Amino acid sequence: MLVLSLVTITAAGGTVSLNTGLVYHPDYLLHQPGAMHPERPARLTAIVEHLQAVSLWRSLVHIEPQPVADAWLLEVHSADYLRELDRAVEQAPIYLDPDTGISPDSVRVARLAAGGVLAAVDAVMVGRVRNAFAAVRPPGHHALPDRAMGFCLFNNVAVAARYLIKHHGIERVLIVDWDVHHGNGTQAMFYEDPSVLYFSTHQSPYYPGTGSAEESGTGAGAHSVVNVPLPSGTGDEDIVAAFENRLLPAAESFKPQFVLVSAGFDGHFSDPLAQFRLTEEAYARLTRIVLDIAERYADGRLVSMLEGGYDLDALASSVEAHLRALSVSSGPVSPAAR
Amino acid sequence: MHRGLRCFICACAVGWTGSAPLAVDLHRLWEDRCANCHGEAGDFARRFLSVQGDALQGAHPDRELRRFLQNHYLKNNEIDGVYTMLLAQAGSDPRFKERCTPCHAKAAQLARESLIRRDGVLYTRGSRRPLDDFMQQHAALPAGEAAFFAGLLERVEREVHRP
Repeated sequence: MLVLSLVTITAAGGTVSLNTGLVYHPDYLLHQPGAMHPERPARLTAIVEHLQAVSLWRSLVHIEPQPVADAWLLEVHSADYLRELDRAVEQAPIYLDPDTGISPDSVRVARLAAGGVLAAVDAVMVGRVRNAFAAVRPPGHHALPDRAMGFCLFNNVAVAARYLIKHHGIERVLIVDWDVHHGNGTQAMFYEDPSVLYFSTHQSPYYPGTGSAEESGTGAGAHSVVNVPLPSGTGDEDIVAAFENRLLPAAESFKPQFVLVSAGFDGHFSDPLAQFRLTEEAYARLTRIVLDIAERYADGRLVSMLEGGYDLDALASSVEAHLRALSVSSGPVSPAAR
Repeated sequence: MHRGLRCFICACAVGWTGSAPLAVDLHRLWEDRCANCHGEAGDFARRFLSVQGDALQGAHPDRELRRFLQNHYLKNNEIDGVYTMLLAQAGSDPRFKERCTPCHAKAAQLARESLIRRDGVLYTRGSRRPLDDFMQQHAALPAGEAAFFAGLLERVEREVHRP
């Protein structure tokens, strides 16, 4: 495993810290939802090959994933659902949901994906890296407590939020979801939970049909959900404005101690599954905004994870933009400072 | 230039984007645009959709499927056709797949390659006999089965050569 952490001085005199972590495992390619399914292994291959081609791969701290323990999955999913998945995988290939197919390795890979996100969280919490991106699949933000949905088996970001709270003693977690689809599963899991603030920008009206501005949490979790539905054709300036006008004040009020990002890149103008018109620069700008929130309130602690993004070239270049923005910060954080 | 002619030329130039029914092979549309995520249309409809009254219901938060389809990767003029096809499939059993597939692969493929409509009547290309008659003597099917498959192929042929 290659571990490289660099701190250099830019020509402009700013400090550049490159201690950003990356989670990836070749077994992530073994989940096969269908021969021509858009959520395909080639997505990760494209990302890896691109990061190697642009010489970013070796600059990242590589974090080895482990399968998640069922105890952490059970924090957000039902025991019946886990049993159902284990039964279903014996019949694979099979569809669990109108668009979620699984192959014989899928559930094992999904456990490794959720475990990869937890490994990233651990690496940030102990100060091994400043922040991290988990290039995992299957994605997670549509997965509900008791069923798979929208290409997702386990809700990776929700598992990570619970893990931060229960294992690391974090009291307030901000989840930012910039996938072009609303993260209905994540919202459902924290709808009554004041310890998690869920912020989502997404195309509307669109799949999965949730995510109206009126959905804002309930009970103790009132105002813990901030949905910003945006129309088809939304561009860079529109989404950045949504982050500046809606996310920044919410974050200032909430003061998160850790920031998680459901990083879907299917809002790119080339993506075949949606109609936003974002460029790579938008993802860099959104990254800088969430990074600024993390640095202001959470000692820089941030983990992002892959959700959607189905045009291979756009996905790879958008991930590059995201990682370059993550890698540039005001300076390294010493573990002791945490 | 005459205003009507100018409008016609403009419409041709930019393409008609209204919601008039689309002349399209619905089965090819499904294979090209939907099958990657959803598998075969018939299997999908029977497993994940339900018919309540005369309406099709999905499993997503917006359960009324016609409304859901309006926001789900289809153009306005494709929605009626896909909805009607799924409604028919959800309400029928997979008898063609179980009984006919060994010889005829898919019903849509059979309709494209082996059936032809003349003056509103469907004929088999090989025998040049009306499909209803042909089916009575095909594969020793009982009368009820022959009528079922003739009806199914009538529907599929219309879905393939829509409208």
